[in-house]
Amino acid sequence: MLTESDLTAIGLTVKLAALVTFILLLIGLPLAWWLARTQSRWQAPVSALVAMPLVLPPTVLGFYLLVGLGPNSPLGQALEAIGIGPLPFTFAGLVVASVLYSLPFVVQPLQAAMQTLDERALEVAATLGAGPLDRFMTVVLPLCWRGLLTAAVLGFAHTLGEFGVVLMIGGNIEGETRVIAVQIYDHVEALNYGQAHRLSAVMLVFSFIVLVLMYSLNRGAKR
Amino acid sequence: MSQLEFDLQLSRPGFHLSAQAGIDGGGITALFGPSGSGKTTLLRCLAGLEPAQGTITVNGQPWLSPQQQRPPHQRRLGYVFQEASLLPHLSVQGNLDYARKRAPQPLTNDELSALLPVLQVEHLLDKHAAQLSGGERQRIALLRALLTRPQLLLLDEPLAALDNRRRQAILPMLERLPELFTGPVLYVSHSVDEVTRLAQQVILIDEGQSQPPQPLTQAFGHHQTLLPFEQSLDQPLGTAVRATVSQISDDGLAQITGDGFSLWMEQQEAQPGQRLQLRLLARDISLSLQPLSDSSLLNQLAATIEHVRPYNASQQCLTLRLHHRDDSPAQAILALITQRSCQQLQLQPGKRVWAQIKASAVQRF
Repeated sequence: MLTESDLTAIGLTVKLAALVTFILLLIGLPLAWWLARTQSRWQAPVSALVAMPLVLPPTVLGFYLLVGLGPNSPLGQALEAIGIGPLPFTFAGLVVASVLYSLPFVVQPLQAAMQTLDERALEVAATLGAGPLDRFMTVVLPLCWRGLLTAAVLGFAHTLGEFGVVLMIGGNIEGETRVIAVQIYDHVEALNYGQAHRLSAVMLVFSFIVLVLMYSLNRGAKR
Repeated sequence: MSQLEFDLQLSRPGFHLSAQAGIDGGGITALFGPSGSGKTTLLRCLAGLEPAQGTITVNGQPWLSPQQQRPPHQRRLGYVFQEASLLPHLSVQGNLDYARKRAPQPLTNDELSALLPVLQVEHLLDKHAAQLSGGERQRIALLRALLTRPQLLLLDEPLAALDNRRRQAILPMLERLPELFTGPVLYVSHSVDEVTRLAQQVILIDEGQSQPPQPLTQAFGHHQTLLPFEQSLDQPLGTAVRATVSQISDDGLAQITGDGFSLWMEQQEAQPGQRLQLRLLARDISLSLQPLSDSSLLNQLAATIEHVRPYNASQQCLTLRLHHRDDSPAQAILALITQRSCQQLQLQPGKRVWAQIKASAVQRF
């Protein structure tokens, strides 16, 4: 059976993933919309920045965040001055790191869906009196719902599974930063293979079910 | 000041649009010209979908001026696009509600019940956009545009994507559009027949340059205005005429009367008193020096040759001035006559002739 500290880790991880997904959608929707439509020369550099976590080792991202948000850095000191922080080794720090780490998994499906959006539908809505925000809410979002669903699922699932970034900036504090992946690592380190098996199986099955649901919905919508 | 006034310029690589006009409501103004002439671009500039320089004033309010450019959603206009443009994620009713919710004042039930029977859409309201035929979609798109209570209605070749049968079904509805909407209507088309049937006046546009609005019968009746377009239009030369159905005979013919002419045509659902706009094709008109007494031709009109110009290697284009009963000049029509006939009959300006046209050639198309 799962131990109490396993359950704590699961609760913490789900809370983290849900919060991060919510924040990612808030940031990702306007960012993806801008990336999908802008003619600006900043489009390529911004796209590259967003995609960095796809290629960087998580430890690199974690290391820079640790240094950048730490009490000795200007950013860390500025955050502390307005009452935020110190972020390293806290749940809030974990949220910040996870948002950055999972950003491409949310932005890219959204951007892909928005790029295939029929321009005509937006023009129609404009001639019917819908302003930019109105059009975004009543035309863009409903027509991009598959991309939105994919983005949310990938953002959530990817945050569930992160390890390297967490270890660098979050450490391993029960109830605060010890997520499932770290908990499994602890079990293995302590040679508790049985516990590690159970927790790993939970992750495996959950991830599989979520992805199957997502792909089925996408398939159904295409028919 | 007119209800709609504009003076627009738009420059793109290889294309320059320059268009000016003042238009009042009470009928359809056709924007007519060959493909690539800038008709649709002009319409999009008026809607704000395309950035242009210049001024647009609608009912005294500036939509575009050097100081400001109103975005499309702040211009009170209705726009019907060429191809199906219903919002695909909404039902028909959802599309209509989308417009109604954003109208400054929703249409009253009386106004709505005036629209629905004309457009014949009641049975479509519960369907989904994807279930409709092309013609049904355009009718819903037109109704949706009217539901926003627009001050200006812009129609961009709304029938171009439809087959002829569906086009024939919608044309009578568009003929009644001025009853339903009193503001200016701009109707983009490259179809002479459509414009003839629907338009009160015509703005000719070619290579991005517009001409001032002129009455339909002038735009589509004078040899100088239409001939330059002929090559690119690939439609037969003809004259637009306006007429009223004066009587229906019991042998299936209708008599129509217009400016200096009275013609028999096949009834084609015409009703007494109905006003028609139709085209007399220049190739359907033949000439004789004396009225024909033993001919099957039902329609003979007295006319004077006003102008003769070469049309192609074998034919001349003649402008014929018709006469009222008191012999005062009425409108002119065009006729294509072979060079040979012109020589044999010595057809020259000033000569009195009789113009003949078969009843079956008088068609609404």
